Amino acid sequence: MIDNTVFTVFNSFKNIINYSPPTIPDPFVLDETRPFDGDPPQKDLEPNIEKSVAHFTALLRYGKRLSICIDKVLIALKSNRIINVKAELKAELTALEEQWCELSPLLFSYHQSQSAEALYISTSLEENRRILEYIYKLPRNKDVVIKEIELTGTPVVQALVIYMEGLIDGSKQDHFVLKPLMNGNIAQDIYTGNFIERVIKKIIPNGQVHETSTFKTVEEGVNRGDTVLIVDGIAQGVIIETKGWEHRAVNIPQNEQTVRGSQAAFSENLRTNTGLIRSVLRSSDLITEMVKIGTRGQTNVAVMYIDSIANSSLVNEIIRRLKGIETDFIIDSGQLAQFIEDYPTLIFPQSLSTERPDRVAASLVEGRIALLLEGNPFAQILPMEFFGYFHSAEDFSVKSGIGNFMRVLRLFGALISTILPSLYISLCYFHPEAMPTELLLAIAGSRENVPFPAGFEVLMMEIVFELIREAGIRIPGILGSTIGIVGAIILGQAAVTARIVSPIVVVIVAVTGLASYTITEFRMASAIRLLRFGLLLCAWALGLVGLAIALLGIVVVLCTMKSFGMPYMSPITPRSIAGYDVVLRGQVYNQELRPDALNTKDPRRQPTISRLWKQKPPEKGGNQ
Amino acid sequence: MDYNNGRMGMSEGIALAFIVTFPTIFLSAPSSEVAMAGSVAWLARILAGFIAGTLLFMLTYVFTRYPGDLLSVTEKLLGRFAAYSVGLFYFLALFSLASFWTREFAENTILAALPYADFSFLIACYILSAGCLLFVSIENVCRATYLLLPFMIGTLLLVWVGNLSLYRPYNLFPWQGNGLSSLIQPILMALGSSVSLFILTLLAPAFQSVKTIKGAVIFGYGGSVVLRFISVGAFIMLFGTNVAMEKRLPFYEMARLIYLNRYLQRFEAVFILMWVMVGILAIAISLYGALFITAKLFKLPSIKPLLPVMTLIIGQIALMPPDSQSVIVMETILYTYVLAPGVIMIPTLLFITTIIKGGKK
Repeated sequence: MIDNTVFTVFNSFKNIINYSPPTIPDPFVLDETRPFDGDPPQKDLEPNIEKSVAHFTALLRYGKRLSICIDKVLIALKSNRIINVKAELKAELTALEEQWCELSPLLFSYHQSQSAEALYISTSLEENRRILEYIYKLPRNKDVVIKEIELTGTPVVQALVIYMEGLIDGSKQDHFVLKPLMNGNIAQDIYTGNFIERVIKKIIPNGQVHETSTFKTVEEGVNRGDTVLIVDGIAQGVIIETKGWEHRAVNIPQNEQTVRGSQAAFSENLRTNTGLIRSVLRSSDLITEMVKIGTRGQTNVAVMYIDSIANSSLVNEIIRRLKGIETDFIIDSGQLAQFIEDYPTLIFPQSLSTERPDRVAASLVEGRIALLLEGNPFAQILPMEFFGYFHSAEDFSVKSGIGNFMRVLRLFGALISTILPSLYISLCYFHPEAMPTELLLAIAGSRENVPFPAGFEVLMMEIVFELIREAGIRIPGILGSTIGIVGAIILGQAAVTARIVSPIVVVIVAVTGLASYTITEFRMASAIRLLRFGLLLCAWALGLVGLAIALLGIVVVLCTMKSFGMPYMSPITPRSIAGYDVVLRGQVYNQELRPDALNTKDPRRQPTISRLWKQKPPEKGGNQ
Repeated sequence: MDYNNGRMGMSEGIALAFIVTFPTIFLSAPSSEVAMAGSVAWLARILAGFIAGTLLFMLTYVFTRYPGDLLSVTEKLLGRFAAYSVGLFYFLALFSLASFWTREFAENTILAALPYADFSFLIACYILSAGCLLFVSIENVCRATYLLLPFMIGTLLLVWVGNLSLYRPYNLFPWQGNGLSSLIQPILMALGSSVSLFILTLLAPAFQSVKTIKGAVIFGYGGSVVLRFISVGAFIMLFGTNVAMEKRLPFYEMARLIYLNRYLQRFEAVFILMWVMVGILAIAISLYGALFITAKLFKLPSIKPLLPVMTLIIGQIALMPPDSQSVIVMETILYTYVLAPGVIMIPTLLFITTIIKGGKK
């Protein structure tokens, strides 16, 4: 048809008149019924047929292997080389005999009823490969590599090397696994004595090599970056440590920066993190227990404590709670803490999150326990009392006077951050007489043109401040903080100019926001920010009476809480021996006792007189 | 929540003894005492404190011979009927205190903080707050009190020190005031208002030992007596007896007088934070005491189901008096003529019975 304006108009008109369904395919709609749930229907109808098919297939494969073996025997007999290959053939036949036992209907049915991970390694390389392919969903899964190699020597022996691409160190694998196996002329030893033991002791030059006989451990090894070797004819495997995935190097702390003290922070590598703690605290008493969490993730959690200090029942309880977690996968140590803490619904944190190895070491010495999650650069220190959240890593790096001044400043910051907006609203609405007259007149003057009530004004500005803060975190790179600062200044100025808010409210919200950043622990700061909104509403409704009721409620909740069995407000209430490091800290040489509430095995940190040199007279003479 | 669970220590005991005897400072009691005894009202506080302390120590002696709580010990010494009578007496006392305090703190809140608030709404605020606190157990309420103690004492010190320039010591003269005989009624009244102190003996098994109770009496109640005595003295020194007896809210009026300079004056409102907290805590503990006795008398396994009902009843009773003046009159009669005799007689009777009966230590 001619493509001109007349025909275009005609065709458009015709399309409108003569409706035809669109030719595009239906869009994807996620079906609410899940066909993958449960067994496939054909399996339910004929459950035995599939099992029988699998059994016959396995028998056929076995028959094929047997036939190859018989051929080998025939060739050896015909060529009169039977003496030379006797050992090899004997081993091969023994393996076939074992495989035959595995194929007995009873045992085969039992294996089929088990999950693949629960199976034992077979003497048949082919069967092993099939099971591994099933476990790792090969060839769909491109991360797992099952490499077939030949162990050099006479006869040539087939073997499988299994590893996870991206988790291993290639050069480590080349040097410590493949080269010794493929260039070592080792295959002749395979059928004499314990070959696996010889591989571990003589052939693989690697510190962490161990044998295995189940697919469960094979799977765990491969998933954590090890290389697994399975040799034909041997119902065992060798797990060789070849971890070497890419990770961030040890860096300076991002969230807990200090002027003094260590400048190292944790990274995502668990072993690097435990090593960092050990590098600070070189104690042979420092124990690192590993607990696996997550039925799918199988993430390692390191539980670190000093055996001669930490309360055993506390350690046992934490390990019990960790082992009692039933979930797919845990990605963050904060998420882990919520799984094991006593009051997960309350907003206050019950464990201290830190990225500093020195802080972890200091806490371990106090008798606390540290949890480190694989792939997470934060350690959780527990139990932790309320006042501990206002301590900083450098409190002890400076003289006690300065350290105490900073602590008081932080507590004052927390107090301002909690109650300043609600106090302003209470005084504004219910008790203006409490403000100096000049200030009151200034506030009244600045609020004259603002069309909103003071409560709404403060609430609005608080929400805007939170928006700026959240946006500042989410905006990538250095732009985030810049936009945060610029946004706050411009928005504040513009809001005052536009007479949406009064300048005093901008000042109050800015001071409150600034004060909240003095709190060293992010989660405690977040909890206090959230409380601020609740207190604001109480003050808006009932003034100082509402504020008093809300504050009393908070205090009672804090007194009720326990952090892993330890009272949250200890050592103040319930009263226990406080030591000199609660709200304020004493001199370093007066820090004689560990926190009493932790009930440590050894409550004394240092003797009453720790500066022994004060007791002795100076030595006379010496080098001039 | 079991009604006698937990092991409370010295700090909880101190807080408990302090908070149940301290709130009268914030109410009209100092004015009433000045009206009765004149410039010697401060002495009534000391003497009443001494007598109540002695009575409590007599009871601790009984507990060293017969371990248990006040009701079980009374049952052992005087029989079941006496135990029920004693239980009913303390129930009445604590229940009345909770009702009166709820009413008075609500009245004071209207006067000092929320003049436009609905009266019943404030009663509901106080009693519901107290009820909610009790859901987390008495130990934690005591711990919270202990945590707030320094702030309470600090507030009082601030008010006293803030008014330092306004004190007229000659207002305390003549030392004998209206005559020493006029002290009898305020002493009885102060004794009656101290009835809640005996909650320590009701909860005796919850404390670590009798020594803990003794410590709580010395430091908690002793501290409270000292503060109350100084407070009444300061009140008289500030206003003189003639003006002081007219004041409805002595503490609030004292705070109102503070004038440090033109920027720091009239900040009495800030102290509302403290007396509201004290009020709620005191109501909560009295309420707990009443619940505890009910549960003990009826042999109930837990007080939790009773809590909402009792809270509601106390709230309703607090609403009943027609005005605040009638509350003060009823309170004075109850303290002086009903509670004070019981406070004196019950411990004395138990002490004498223990002496006569003896008993193993």
